[in-house]
Amino acid sequence: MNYVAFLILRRLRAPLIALIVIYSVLILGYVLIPGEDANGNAYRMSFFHAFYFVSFMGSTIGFGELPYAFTAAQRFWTIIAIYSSVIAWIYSIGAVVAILRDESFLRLLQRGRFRYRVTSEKEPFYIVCGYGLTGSSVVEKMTKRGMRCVVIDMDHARIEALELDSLPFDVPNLCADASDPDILNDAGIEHKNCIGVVCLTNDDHANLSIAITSKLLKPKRMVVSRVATQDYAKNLASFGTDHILDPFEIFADYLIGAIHQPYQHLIYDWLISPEHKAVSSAYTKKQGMWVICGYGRFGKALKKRFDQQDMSTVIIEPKPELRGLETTVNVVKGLGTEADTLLEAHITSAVGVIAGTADDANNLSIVMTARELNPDLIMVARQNHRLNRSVFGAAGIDMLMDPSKIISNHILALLKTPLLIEFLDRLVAEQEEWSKELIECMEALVGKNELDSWSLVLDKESAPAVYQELRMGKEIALQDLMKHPHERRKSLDCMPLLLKRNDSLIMTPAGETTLRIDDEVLMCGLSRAASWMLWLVANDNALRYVVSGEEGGGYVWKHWVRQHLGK
Amino acid sequence: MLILGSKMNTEKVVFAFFIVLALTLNFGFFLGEMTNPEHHNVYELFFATAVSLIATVMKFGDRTHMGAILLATSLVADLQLIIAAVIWGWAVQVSDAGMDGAAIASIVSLSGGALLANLLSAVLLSIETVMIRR
Repeated sequence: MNYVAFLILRRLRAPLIALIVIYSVLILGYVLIPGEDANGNAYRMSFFHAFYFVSFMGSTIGFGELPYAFTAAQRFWTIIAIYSSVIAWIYSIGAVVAILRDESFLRLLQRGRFRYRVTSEKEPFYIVCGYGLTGSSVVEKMTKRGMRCVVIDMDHARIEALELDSLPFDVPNLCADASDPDILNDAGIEHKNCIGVVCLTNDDHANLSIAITSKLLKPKRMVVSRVATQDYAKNLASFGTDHILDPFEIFADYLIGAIHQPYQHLIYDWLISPEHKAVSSAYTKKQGMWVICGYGRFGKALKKRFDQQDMSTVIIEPKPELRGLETTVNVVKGLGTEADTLLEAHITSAVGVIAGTADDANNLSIVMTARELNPDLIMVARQNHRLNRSVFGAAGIDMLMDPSKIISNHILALLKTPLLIEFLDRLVAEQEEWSKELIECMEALVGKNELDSWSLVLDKESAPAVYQELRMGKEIALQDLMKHPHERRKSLDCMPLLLKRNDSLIMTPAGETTLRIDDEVLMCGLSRAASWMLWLVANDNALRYVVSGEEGGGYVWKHWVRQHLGK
Repeated sequence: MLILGSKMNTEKVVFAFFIVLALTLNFGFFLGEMTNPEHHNVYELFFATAVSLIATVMKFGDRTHMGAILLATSLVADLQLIIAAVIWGWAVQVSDAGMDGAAIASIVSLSGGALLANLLSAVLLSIETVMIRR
């Protein structure tokens, strides 16, 4: 705020000097001009009277001629005085109003307010740099889960959009260049409560400099960055950026997973994205020859993985020479939007087509043409602009690649609970049979609703009731925590996925497992089960009830239980 | 501003002009016998006050340490001069005794205080100028 005071004072210099000069000249004029008193004697106004007269004349032009009626010469001077003092005041007031409406002044005020709000933040928070499609969707999901964040974006329109987005609670935001260390400092990069930095600007270089700044200041703090090119991905990895997200690589992995390990892929899909695919989608045949249209960053990421799996592909690319492709049997020159090129690429014998060009209209055209030639094809399309979502939705595409959605789902999975990522890492090693059983359990649990996941840490802070009981030597099984705190015979709609105990991981632990202090459990199920469970582990009476059936507590508690359970 | 040269800070030069002008005007007013109103010209007091006010305003919003000190010293000078002017007005217009030796003595001594403050500003300004390395 100090800057603001200095700026105002500096801007006020000229108007104030103008006022002083004009007043001085006017006062001097009245002192010098000879006048006449009531008896016609010559006199000169004193400085006292001159100052008095100019003061009220400047502000009101009232009160009359003092101390005696003026002579013509004095009146002549008064005319000049009236106009010059009015002009001086208009100029001064105008200058003050201009300061209040000044862009740089307003920016300073906003920045001061932003700095104040961040400094006074008492809960752990994340810094999100970039409020584009991905950034806004990440921030929306984070705030819905009660996570605090601070947003920086260079684009004024996006910050205005943030104000209109009606998020569940206030998000401190600033319109500024996040790669400037000063700005990051104001956003709380050195704040003790800042637990993570998410770089989602459109500029890889800006993301890089934000990540470096954060890693230099606090090497252990989590940094997540989106990246568009592999060069920057390597650069980011070189200094220990925790998670580097390249939408093309992520989607290529996802697609390969869907082809080779459909059940494992489904578990991943259910846990990561809110609207998940039906289990039946795992039955379709996906092994065989694929046609890839467009050999840019996306096409290359796909081709690399198909080659690793020894699957045959045909690439359709308008400029193969430019992309460093040798013209062999498997490369067809063209866009893929015409039937000729697609036929040349043996579309009739392929299992799937991937429309992966950077142009949405072309991608749609490829999909439509290919379907006419071979109705059984699996359609995969890349959506470049969010505005085209409804069009792609109507095209009946099997797998849609929407970069901003992929990144935002992934980031949220990362931020939700670190256990989820550990679970997904371990999942890769499991057999398809195991995955199939698990996905069937999940389907029985939530059906078509969103599968949420959360973690329980059995320590003093997050689960005081459980901690207390375990410390007393009582036995609590995992299944006890999955009972409804109102009716222990009913169980909550959730299941355990992972138990972490002294760095060893147990996948899908059995309900009979007895718990120990400092265990970490990853659960999945309906969101409403999560809130019951988190309440249960913190409430002594409810916990005692679900474990042993006894209704503990005082009179009020028993009364409440009786009322609500009808006992 | 060709005569000022390209390496100078115009703002500082203009401020130096005003602070030295305030000093010299004040000195002119201060000279003379303490108790004799004939020796002290009211116009000089008026100009000294006006110029000193302008010098003060010119230091508004200066974030340097030296700027803040100069603002303080010139505010002191303003205060002294304004009190002197008020006493003058009171003596001439209001008091029954009129402008006598006692009144002019207190006016002159107040302006002497302002003179000291102005002098300090000028010295500080000289030090700052000397410290600038070429």
